[in-house]
Amino acid sequence: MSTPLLELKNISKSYSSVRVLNNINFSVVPGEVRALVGENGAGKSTTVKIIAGVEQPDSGGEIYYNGELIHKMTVKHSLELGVSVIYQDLSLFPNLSVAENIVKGSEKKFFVGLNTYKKQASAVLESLGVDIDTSLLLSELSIGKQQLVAIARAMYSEAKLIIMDEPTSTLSSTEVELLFDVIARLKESGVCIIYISHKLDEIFTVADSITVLRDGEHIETGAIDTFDQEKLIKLMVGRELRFVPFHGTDIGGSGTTFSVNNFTLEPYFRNISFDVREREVFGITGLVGAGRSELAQSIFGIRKASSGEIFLGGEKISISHTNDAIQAGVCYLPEDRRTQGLLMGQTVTRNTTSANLRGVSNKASLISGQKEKKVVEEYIERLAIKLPSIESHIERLSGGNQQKVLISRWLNAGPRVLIVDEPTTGVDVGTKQEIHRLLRELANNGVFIVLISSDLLEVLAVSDRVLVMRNGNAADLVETKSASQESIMEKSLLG
Amino acid sequence: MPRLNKKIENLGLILLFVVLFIFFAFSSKHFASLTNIMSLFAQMVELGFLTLGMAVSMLSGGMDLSIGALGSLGTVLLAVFIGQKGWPLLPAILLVFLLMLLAGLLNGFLVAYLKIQSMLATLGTQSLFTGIGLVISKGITVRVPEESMRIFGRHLVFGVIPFQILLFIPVVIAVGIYISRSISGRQIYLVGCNEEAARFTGINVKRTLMKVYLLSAAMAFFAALVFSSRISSGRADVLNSKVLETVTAAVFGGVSTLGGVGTIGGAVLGVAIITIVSNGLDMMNVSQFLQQVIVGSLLLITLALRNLKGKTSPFVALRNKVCRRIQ
Repeated sequence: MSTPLLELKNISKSYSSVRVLNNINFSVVPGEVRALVGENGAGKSTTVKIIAGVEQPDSGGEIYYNGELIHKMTVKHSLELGVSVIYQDLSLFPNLSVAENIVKGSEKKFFVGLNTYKKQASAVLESLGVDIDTSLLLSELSIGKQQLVAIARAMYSEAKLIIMDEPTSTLSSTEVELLFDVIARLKESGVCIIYISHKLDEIFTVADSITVLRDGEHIETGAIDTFDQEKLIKLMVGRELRFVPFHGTDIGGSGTTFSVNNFTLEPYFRNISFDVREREVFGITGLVGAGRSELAQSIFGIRKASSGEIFLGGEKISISHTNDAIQAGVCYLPEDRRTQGLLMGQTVTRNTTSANLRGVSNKASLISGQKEKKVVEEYIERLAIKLPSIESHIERLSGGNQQKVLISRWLNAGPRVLIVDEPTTGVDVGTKQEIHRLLRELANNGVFIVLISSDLLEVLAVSDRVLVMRNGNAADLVETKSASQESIMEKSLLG
Repeated sequence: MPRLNKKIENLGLILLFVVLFIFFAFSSKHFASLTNIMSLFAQMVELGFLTLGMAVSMLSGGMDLSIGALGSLGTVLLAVFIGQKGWPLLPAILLVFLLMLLAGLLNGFLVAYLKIQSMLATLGTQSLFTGIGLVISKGITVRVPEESMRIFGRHLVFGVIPFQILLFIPVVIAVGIYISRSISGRQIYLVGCNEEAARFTGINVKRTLMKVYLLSAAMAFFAALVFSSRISSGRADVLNSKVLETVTAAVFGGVSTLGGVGTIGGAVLGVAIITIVSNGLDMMNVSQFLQQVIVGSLLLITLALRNLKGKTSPFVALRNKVCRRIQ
């Protein structure tokens, strides 16, 4: 075996009294694609931050790069060594051209003409086998292409080690394939890649080896062929966990429904109708851009549909603002947790009660701190939310726990209809299961659940019927008991 | 912890106020006299009203730069109606109040409905309000000889307490409760934190912003009332220069320029500290020029300490130690 490119020895990290990494040993060789997996809070991000020099490990740990001991890894130092991290939010400049994004910051001369930029940028993109016009503004590209630009930028700065954090979470399937091609090329040229993802099928496609972390501990490292999905999940969560289907029983008992009739909003979707029956989880799936989120947001009053009606329990309800929707008991857990859901910089308490402030107010319409505390503590217990304190800022929680807080927000609003949009993206396997169980439990208790998801396994396991959308049209309505992933994928592509 | 921290932060400001008070009391024999203390509080009031409005607009994620110009316009309107036209006091004041709320509606409309960035919208209306004031007053100072108008800025209750303090205290309490306890107040914080997420949680963002700019116009009205009474006149730009001071005071008191963070109590303490420093330095015969340097340095030090919070630094270690002691 060749000398490791990077080696971490006995790395630990504590924040005040909480130990988030405990004696981690980790090494990668050039040309290796290493998947780093673990539930949220397992210590993946902290490991990355230590490699990138953003955080310093506790004393006692050692970092070797190409066999040399690095005494103090700083951000500058790690960049010079050729470590490049591609974060989820990409950290690029949307108002600059593709060429400038690739070359800026690592110019080899002080004065560089635009043409030189373009030439150099094109050369890098070509070596990756990517075809992007370098004179376009970055903001004109799709997220997937932007990601490739970020990789090209890393390559231009002669990166030896590229760390990708959930690189496919916002990509379409063709873009994912393109990314995998690029990764294969990088590998050939001897670049080492640390690949962080929750998507297990991707890991088995792209990685050579896997390191599993759990609760800050190193659990196992091995070649890809020593793992299978079931084993990996077991190692990640530390317990046996299979994807249990949660289908409903006694669906449509009393005959009340939540119905959406002929909803249209050009150019997003047209003539969409569906009924959600009592005790049913109703799925909506389709490719990115099929109009699913736009449909949900129209029902919720974010953007008004140009035509269509909503009936809840036989009564017509009109919604022209989100507030009307909430009054009527129609709630929506948005897809984009960071910008549409979380109130960053505010406490967990304020994030939980925001949709139903009246519910925590006293007779004089003043918010009662005691009532708030009681409500929040109730949900923390009910949903098993892990957090330092209810007065902690929401950004201090892990992704899964943040999502649980947002779900509490809607439970606290007394939902009759709960539309959840990609409720388990960026959420660890254990929490995923908990959310699925919760949705089923709510449905059994009479809440109409609409589950929007592009995770077909999730849709099949949790929902009873699925509406497949394609290009803004209702392509098909499927009973999940008699459906397979392949058949739904076919419907969403071809109809 | 954050709530505790906030309390400690305000506690720190109170402590600073006390320390400054003791310092000035020993440095100047006139400082601690009853007359000076009362005039100190009276001085706080005008800046205080304006800062309340500014703080609320900052909590909502904006910054009402027109608040000084609107206050000035208010003084002109009061002077014209009461001084020139000789209208009876009460209807004149009521009319001015309504006109100023109308101006607040305009600000709110520009920010909430036309979605113009708050600072730019109010930069525009700042010029607009000053312009209207200049046209109405023909660019000169309009006198208010009316005796009954003196009550708001020059009357001493029981011969000691300036009337404006008795006006200021209930307004501070009302605004404080509104912001910290009422549903709309909480919604202002949430809108200031993240407008889109606020909308997705069912908050009517437009209506919330309208309330913010109405409130800030109401605060400008109070400032105008007290000021025009104190100087017995109105002028179209007389309060304009106070705008930067209101931002300074609010930031000093812990209100974030990014929105969603801060308290009314903190903002008022910010006003108190800035006022005591300038009053105390006056008493010590420190020149106005040097005063600017001192206030500026004080602000920068506070900001530096606040930004260093949570990061390892000697300043923070010191601050934490001090805070723990106080606790």
